[in-house]
Amino acid sequence: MRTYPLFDTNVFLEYKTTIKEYANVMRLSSIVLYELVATTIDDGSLQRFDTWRTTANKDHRLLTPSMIDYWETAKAVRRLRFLNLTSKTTTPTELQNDALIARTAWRNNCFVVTSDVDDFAYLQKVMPKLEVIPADVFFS
Amino acid sequence: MKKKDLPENGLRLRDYSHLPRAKDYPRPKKLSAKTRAFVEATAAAMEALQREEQKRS
Repeated sequence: MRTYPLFDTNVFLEYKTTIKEYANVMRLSSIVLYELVATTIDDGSLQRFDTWRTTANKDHRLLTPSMIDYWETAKAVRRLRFLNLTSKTTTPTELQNDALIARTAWRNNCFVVTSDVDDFAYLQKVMPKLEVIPADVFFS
Repeated sequence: MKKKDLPENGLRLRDYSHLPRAKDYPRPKKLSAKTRAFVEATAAAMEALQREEQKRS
């Protein structure tokens, strides 16, 4: 059974006042961190995210895809396209972030907590060991 | 939720009973220094997200 929650970007945005209560059990995806930082307006916020990154790394909670992860994830997304589970107009990069979050979750004994369960449900067809739970169910 | 029916679009309705809920994690009595630092940094990051949201609105 997967042990640690890995929160998708949308969960941080929707549950920001709740998540800090469970920080001691969560893992932090570097892909999610990228998505949060890339849209940051304030320099003070950027500094806080940097501290978050370094403390996560020191406590072995920062999950970053390896070269093999990128390779295996690309093959998984390719299988999705062969199975016609994605639209022909969906670019590989649109799926990349979710697929990398999914891959690093199952490789690190995590399950994904997300508000977009349907997107990850498709990924489960090519990553059968991936576990996903909707955020409203997880926090209920 | 314990449904396992197959709707027309082929997606299996999902059973999450085997996964933990937030309330299943016990409050730790003591945190290591590194974990405490991460927990505090998480709280600060969430405050930053709150401020970012206010700036955008």
